[in-house]
Amino acid sequence: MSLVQTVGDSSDASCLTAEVSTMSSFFTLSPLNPSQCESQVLLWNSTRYQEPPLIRVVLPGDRAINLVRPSTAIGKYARWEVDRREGTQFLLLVQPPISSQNPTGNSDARTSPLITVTGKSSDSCLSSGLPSSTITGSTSTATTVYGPSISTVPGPTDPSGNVK
Amino acid sequence: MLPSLAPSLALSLAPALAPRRTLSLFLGLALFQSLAATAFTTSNSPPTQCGPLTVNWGGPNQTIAPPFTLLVLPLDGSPTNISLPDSSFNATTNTGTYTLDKLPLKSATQFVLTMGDGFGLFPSHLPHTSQSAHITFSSTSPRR
Repeated sequence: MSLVQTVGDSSDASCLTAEVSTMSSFFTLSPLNPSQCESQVLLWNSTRYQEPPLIRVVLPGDRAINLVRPSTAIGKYARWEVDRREGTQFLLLVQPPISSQNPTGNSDARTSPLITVTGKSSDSCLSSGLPSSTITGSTSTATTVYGPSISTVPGPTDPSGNVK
Repeated sequence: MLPSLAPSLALSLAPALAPRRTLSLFLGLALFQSLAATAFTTSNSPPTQCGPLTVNWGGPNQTIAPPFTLLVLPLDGSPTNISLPDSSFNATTNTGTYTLDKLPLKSATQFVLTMGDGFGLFPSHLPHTSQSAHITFSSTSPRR
């Protein structure tokens, strides 16, 4: 994974394509800049993503972590605990599951802006050197995975009430 | 290429009775540990709008396998996933190089680059946790 770079000027515009639609037509984030050990909710556009999309946490200069995706189409949002230290910057990559991707392109893939972990609610999520979290889903099973946690809740309502 | 993966794969697959998630964890950790110390460098000169971009990756003792993909991730934008030809990889030296003729990004766009391979750790040509440690990117002046 490279660090964040900035494209330099050039008069050649032959490679440019149409402007991409706003992020909100793909997904919304709440909060946009979470605090350390706080949960962040990603609500995807269920018209665009008829199955739960693949979601990755991309850490510039470091690596990308796959959020665990439910195997069945339940719910339309994912919540993950931001087990990253205050000041860490990351972006989210959201794209359709492999089975739904267009082999010649993937116009339904979208990245977030650069997100900064701002403030901290606790240190409890940083207890180990490597990220290790718990996944919960509709089957009520819990599995330790290499990466942040994700939970998907059935139905259109959000019990936490913080997703619009 | 694949036969050269056998020793590390055999080692990583030792806990054969473990659940799938645990196996994935084990593979991920094994790869990450073997590659984490590898240097990662980028060019001082950033690529330009529609300019070329060269990617170099691999090296001795690194567990990688084609097909490779280059993933261009503009911030708050539309990512581009580029399938790299098998000819871009030299299985003898375990290294690859590829030049993207035109980076499809506007000037001033902020972006991140990464790669995926055919290792199968994730369900497609996706960047995985170890891949980042052994890729270098460089750019040259745009062609006029």
